[in-house]
Amino acid sequence: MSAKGVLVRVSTYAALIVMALATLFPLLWVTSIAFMRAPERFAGTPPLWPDHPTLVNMVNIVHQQRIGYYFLNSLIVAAATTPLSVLVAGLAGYALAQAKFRAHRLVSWIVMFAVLVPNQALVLPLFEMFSAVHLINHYAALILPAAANAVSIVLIQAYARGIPADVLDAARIDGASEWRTFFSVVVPLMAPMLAAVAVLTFVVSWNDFMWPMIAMQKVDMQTLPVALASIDREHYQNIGLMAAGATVAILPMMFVFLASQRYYLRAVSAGSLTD
Amino acid sequence: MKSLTALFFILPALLLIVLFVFVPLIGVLGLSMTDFNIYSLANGADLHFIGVANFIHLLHDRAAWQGVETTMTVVLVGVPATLALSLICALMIESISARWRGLFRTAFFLPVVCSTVAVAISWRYMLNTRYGLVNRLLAAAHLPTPNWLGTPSLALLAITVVVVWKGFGYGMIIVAAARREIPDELYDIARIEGAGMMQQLLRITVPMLAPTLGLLALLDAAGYWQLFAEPYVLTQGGPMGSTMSLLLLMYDRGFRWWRWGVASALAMVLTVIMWLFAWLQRHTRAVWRGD
Amino acid sequence: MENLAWSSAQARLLSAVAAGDPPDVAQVGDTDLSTLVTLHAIVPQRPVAGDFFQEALDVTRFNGRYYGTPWYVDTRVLFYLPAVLHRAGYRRPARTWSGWLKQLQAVRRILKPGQYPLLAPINEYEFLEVLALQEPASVLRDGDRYGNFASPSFRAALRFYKNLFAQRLAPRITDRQLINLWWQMARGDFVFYVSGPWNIGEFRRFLQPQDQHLWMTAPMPGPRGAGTSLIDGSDLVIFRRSRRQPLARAFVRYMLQNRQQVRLFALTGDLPARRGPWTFAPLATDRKLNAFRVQLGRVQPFPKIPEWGEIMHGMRRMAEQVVIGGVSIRAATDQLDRRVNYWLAERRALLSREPGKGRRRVVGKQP
Repeated sequence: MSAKGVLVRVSTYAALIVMALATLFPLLWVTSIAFMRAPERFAGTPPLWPDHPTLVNMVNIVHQQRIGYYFLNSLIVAAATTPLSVLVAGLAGYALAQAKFRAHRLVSWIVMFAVLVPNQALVLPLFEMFSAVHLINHYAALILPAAANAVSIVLIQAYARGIPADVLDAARIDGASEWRTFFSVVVPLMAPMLAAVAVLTFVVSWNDFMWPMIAMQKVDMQTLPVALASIDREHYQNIGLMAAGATVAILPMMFVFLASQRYYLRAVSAGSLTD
Repeated sequence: MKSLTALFFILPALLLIVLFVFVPLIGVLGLSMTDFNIYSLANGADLHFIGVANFIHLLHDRAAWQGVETTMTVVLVGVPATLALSLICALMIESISARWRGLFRTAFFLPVVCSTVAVAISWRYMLNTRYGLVNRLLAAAHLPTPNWLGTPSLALLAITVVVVWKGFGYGMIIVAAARREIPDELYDIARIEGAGMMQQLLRITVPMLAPTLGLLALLDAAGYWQLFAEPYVLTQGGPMGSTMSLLLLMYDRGFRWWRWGVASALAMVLTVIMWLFAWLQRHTRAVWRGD
Repeated sequence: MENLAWSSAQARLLSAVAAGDPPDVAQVGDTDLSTLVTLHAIVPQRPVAGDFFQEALDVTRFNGRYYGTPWYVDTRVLFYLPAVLHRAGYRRPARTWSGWLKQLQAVRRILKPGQYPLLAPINEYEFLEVLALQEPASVLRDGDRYGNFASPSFRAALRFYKNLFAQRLAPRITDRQLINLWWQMARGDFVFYVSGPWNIGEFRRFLQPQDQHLWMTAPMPGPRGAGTSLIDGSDLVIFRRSRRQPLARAFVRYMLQNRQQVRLFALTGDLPARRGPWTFAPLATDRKLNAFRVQLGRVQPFPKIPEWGEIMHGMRRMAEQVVIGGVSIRAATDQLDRRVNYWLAERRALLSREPGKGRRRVVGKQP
């Protein structure tokens, strides 16, 4: 390798390391502050690392602020939204990719149009609709709108186009109903993409903020980000407490991501193929 | 597959989309032409159809114009910055040994999966004028230590930085995937013809990635137009309304002061601007490709 | 029982009402009371005691009936550092604006760089509201039908406010940029802060016992003599939709007992709305409460209209433009009046459309 090549290689690694540290820093620092005793007492910038690590902030955020409840709410909503959304999008995406029917153009158009609607701009009538049927403060208010994810449909449709027709025909010749064909043949074939969409849906649901803040009026029903923002309004000067809250919200997602990285990254890169 | 079965498969999705996208969209349009406010909530008789009066009011409302300007600034500055970072990181990662790729990919991608509220809280401490780490580093380098979240132009810049920081990892993955699709032969030929690294980048990589970057620009812009949680936590729209995004303005008018008519008009404005932008982007992309 | 963060409580409670799912009893801020009355969401109550602070009781009165039971009262006073003021050559805070301005200037001379004589967060409107309420007619006019911010007295108040920042007596920061107010004040980052009674509890919670002598309270100065302050607070309201009205009323009576009111103070530092509990320790003996006791005798209620919160936020944004945007006082107040007039349009229309029925529907109507 030439001297220039080595130089390029070394500087690439150096740049990557610096950028990675800069990217991770805000997350690491807030996690570190979460374990400091009264970080606001420092006359200057809090140190990078706690001298005497303490769990007092974690205990406070769990005990006084009941972060566990909100954590559970978020978990319930995300865990219910994900399979529902994946099933709905899986059925629709598969049918759009593999079936020819008269309304195909219309349905495709509806799905594409839905992708282009900013869903956060719809919260006012959504609030009215859910109030009218008394579903405000119910998990359903968060789960149902999230189940209709047009982006997921588009992702799955693009993937399902790649299913060979003879595989499906073989199943049909064996006498399987469309329903059985879907679950016994199509789902296993689409598994990587379904898993990817599932992870995407889970993360989006977990991090959603505006609609959950509006739809969950009762404190007991709040999701984690909403509760965190609400605690922040009152306790923003209690740095240790807020840092602990942020840490509780960040760490589980990190683990979900690290555990499911393979599928997740596939879903994101699939976005480039749907053009 | 029979038509009927296919429709049956599509029906749940269709129902949900119609119910939770189309009906509310029509609702927003309808509400935007009424004077729905706290008095109409008390007494339905005080609800009136007022045509486009809300939109005319918004035309004269400096806060609304500022909201458009603020949000558009984040889009126009944030999207290119995000694209540039996504591209640079993707190309660097693809050029290093496969053994280390996963590590860096994870590092750049982690902010994407973190709760916006939580990361906004950490950034608020990072950006604190007297105690934050950013100003500590600037002071160490003998640079001015500005009041980041208290100065109108800087507050918007800070929000844009947070948005880009949180978003570029997503694009990086997409660009990296697209980069892997470029055949190696193209680079081999270029090398034989004596093209340097810079030339390879500009003549092969960037043109080949252009469609992907175009799509990314569309996705990023759609996300950035809907800016809400970052200013909600970091600045609450201040100082001087400089970080009041359109959605934050809509939320304030709608759920704080109960002026649903005007808030719905703002939602319509946002929707139409996003459509215009998407159309414009598709159009310019078609021109690039020479379609 | 639910705890709501104060700044988002209003939006949440209103949404709960709009969604048709309110609680039985709620503690609401004075500012929101008129909104709930407008919405017919709450029922009138008979006063449960005879010794309320009169202004606090008046706040809950709409068209001759009491729609809430004052629970705690809240007014704004000066929190300050006596030792620093002493070093600057003064024994106690001044009673007039001009005297106070001199003190702030004197304090600034003995402070270190980065420290300020006054903390007045630009995203809080209450300090400017206090300045404005010295002459209540200076804010709204014609039975609260139009904005009157272009009046000479409001402009004078705004000029005083603007000067505090222009002379670098107060930093141009929001409260979000504080790391910890109480620690920072104990360190001398700020010497004066205009705030409410809950901060008594916060100072005691965050500072060590040996540091409690560092801070003190004093009544507000005024343009010409002792100043008036705002009166705010919270009231217990009973929702119309509640199916347990007698129980709700019993709950309200229970919460207003001397014992409960004294406990409320002990737990939160919130000041009882009845005078009775003030005769018990620790309320009767706490030196740091004296300023509040004095100030509660000189308070000025704000207009009881549902638009008040929105108007105050509009005023705050206007003040921001003056303080950090360099907009002239004349232009800013003229523009604010135009906006306030737009916000009040519906109210004016209702008042003129149905003079007879309007009495029931339009709250805050002047006789």
